[in-house]
Amino acid sequence: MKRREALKLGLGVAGATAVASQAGAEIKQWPDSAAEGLTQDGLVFPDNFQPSIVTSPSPAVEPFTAPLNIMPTAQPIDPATYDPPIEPERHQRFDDFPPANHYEEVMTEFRWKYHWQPPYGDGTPDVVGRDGDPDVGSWHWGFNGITPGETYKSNYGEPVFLRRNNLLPPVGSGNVTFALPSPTIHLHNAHTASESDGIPQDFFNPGEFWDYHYGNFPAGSPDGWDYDNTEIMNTLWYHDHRLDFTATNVYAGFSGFYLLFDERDSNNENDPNPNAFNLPSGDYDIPLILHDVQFQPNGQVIWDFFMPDDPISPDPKAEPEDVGNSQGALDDFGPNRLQYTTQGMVGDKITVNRIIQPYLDVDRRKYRFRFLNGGPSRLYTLVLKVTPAGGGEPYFDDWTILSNDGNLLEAPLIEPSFELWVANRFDVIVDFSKYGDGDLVEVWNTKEIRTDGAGPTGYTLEGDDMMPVMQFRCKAGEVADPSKIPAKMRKLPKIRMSEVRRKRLFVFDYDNGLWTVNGRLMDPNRVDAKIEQGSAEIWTFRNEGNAWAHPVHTHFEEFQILEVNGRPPSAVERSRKDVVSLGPGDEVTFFSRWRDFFGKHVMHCHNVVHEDHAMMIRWDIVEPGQGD
Amino acid sequence: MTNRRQFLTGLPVAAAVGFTTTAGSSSERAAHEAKAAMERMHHGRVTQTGNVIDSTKRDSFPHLVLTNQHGETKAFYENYIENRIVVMNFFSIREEASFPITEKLSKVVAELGDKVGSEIQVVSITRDPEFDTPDRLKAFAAEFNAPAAWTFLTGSRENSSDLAFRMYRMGHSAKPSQSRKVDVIFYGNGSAGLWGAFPVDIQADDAANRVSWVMPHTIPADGKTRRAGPRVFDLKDPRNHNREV
Repeated sequence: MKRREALKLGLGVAGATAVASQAGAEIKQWPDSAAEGLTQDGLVFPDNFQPSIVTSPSPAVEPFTAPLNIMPTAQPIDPATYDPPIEPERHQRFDDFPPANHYEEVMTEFRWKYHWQPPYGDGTPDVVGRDGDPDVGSWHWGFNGITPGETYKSNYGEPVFLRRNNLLPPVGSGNVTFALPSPTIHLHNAHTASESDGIPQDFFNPGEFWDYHYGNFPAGSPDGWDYDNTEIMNTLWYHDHRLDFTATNVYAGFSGFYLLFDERDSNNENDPNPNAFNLPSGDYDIPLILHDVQFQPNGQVIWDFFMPDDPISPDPKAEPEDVGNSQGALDDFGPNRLQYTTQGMVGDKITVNRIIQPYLDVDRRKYRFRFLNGGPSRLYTLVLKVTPAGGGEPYFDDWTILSNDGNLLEAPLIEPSFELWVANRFDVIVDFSKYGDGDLVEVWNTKEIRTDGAGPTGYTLEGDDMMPVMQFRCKAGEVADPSKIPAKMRKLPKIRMSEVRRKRLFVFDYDNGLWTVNGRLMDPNRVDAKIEQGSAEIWTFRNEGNAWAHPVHTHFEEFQILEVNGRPPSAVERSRKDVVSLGPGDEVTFFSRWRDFFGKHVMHCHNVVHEDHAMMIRWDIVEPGQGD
Repeated sequence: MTNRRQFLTGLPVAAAVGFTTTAGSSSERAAHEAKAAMERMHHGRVTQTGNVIDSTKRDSFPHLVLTNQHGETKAFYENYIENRIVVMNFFSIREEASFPITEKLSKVVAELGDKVGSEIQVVSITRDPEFDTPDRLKAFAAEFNAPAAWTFLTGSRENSSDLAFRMYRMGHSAKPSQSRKVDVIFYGNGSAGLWGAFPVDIQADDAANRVSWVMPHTIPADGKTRRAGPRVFDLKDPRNHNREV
């Protein structure tokens, strides 16, 4: 008797009961769920257990009705207040990069209002985040009481020292239950020694702290550099990287921006220095981190893996068939049965700086927006939709793209859209001066992804199916705009094949619920690549899957793409990068260097659910002559 | 007036240009957070299963019974998961020769030592229930000198699969196979509803250490945070991390 039939008959009298299960008895019929004596609730799993995104969408709120959260800038402290004090010998090359600014943070649990409307907020218009009724909001983790954390703004040549104190409730005593309260915080993609990188193994427990030392110098130029150094980066971010728990810990709130400035990208649109780009700065330079989140009816964030199938059929098929298992093994259950999936995690509410689909009143001038996809799994294609206040026909406008993965391009690009995969950063300029008073300029997502989060469906969302991200409302009146869009920005570093010591191939694949690199799972004790300091290598990433995608990130250095599926990189790919968009069946080859420090780092899929299951390798920078 | 409101009162509000930002300076925010968080960290109560974040029953485990190597048939969640620290895997006796996951797990169990039984339960669920009868499980457990707190479970194929599907995506055909290369072992806190997984091939001491991650920790009572790292860098140090300990 199938369980479903047992259910129809009513329980307690159903067949398939646990009878003869005595030791030694070879029994034909093993006990089933319909065993006598078990209460009925919960029995129906998984026949009618569906994911929240299907059965219980997040509570509705109208898009573009909550104000954007703009993270405050982190402020330095007096290093004399560190208790215990800094111990310089714990940091590689500390004396080469003496800290100019010191910071200290606490990491805690608190309530956060993703919107002002109930159940997310207390109903007071525009009161979001930490404001308003302290007993309302979703339980959350963050830095210094906010999420995303404070925005760090640092200059090249001014190293930073940062102490993070973990004051999270220990395991089992907090309100955020799905995440592990012993984080490690990675600065993506800083050129930073292993011990300050925030690798997955370097966690700290509640009641402990970790010291981070950020040299803030361009890769390969520890002894000084010119204003036009080709390795200078600008938009970085920090996020949790905990071994086995990165996905849940980032989702719980551990992400934020770290911006680097230099003589050219100088954080001053009025800068008289002729080398300066005079990009929009101050209130007109706004970082935007996108996370898609799923909420329960009570407004609490949920981590939810149960995925739908179409049609949902928990019953065995009449004949075993190929359902995509490894080695092509036949199975009599479908591949998409309801389950805790390791494919990804998608939420139905897109949040920007942890506010649901916010709005921002903007002056009619140029802004620099720094878009970042904070994950966990959703991929975006972002477009700009303009609705004139006078009732004119809405239309789509172009972006002015400044950078890719935080690196300014050789020249700005004009594009109708950009692909924002997990951990990608794109700095863009939007010039609102060309719009009228009251015009609405909105960011929408047109990329459809699989509901399990494993990758794109290949379809573009159109019309009513597009997903709202955020809205800019053009204010009345004229404002001065001293900012400029430079015609030329940074040159790319020279690629010299003579520096290449070896090539490596990394194959990304799937094996029965788990995600492999070259057929293996992450082992922090196994060094998968020993790279000699000062050398260059050519790496090829190959996606063996035809239905899923991997945004693959490698730490510590930026690389340059040589080929994508045998073709040269596109205009937007002609950039230094640290995340490869590895679509179904894709093969990408890049050139990179490894310089200045020694130690342990990682390369991994930045669909962080894949990373946790356990699509990651460890690579080390070793002394010349010690490489593999 | 709440503490939070008191905290915000009197602080300069960021210049309003149509957006919201959190008031106060970094150190003011940190100081405000630290006091309350320290209090909770030291005096927080360990919650029972389920709370405001997790609204589902039984931590989303299916409601079913399985039979152990002693022939006892019990409800799975209530007897092996609820309020326990658990190490859990899926295996089959016939697959062990080609994919020795149980042998690997036995080394982790040995590494965990006395904690198995006193603090940690180990649960191994067969993927091949037609073959893996309680008798065979009992003999199989004996091969690995399994301590009493290591339970081997069998049941219907559907039950076994439902549990596997609760943890990850593992096809039904993953029962006896000569070609499987990778798998994971789960570790979790059944009180908190917190689950992680480590690859089978990692070192036993690393695996045992990971189980401790989901166990409650004692917090230093002096109100000061302790240095977790980094330790002084040594290129020759074989440890896989930069932690102090």
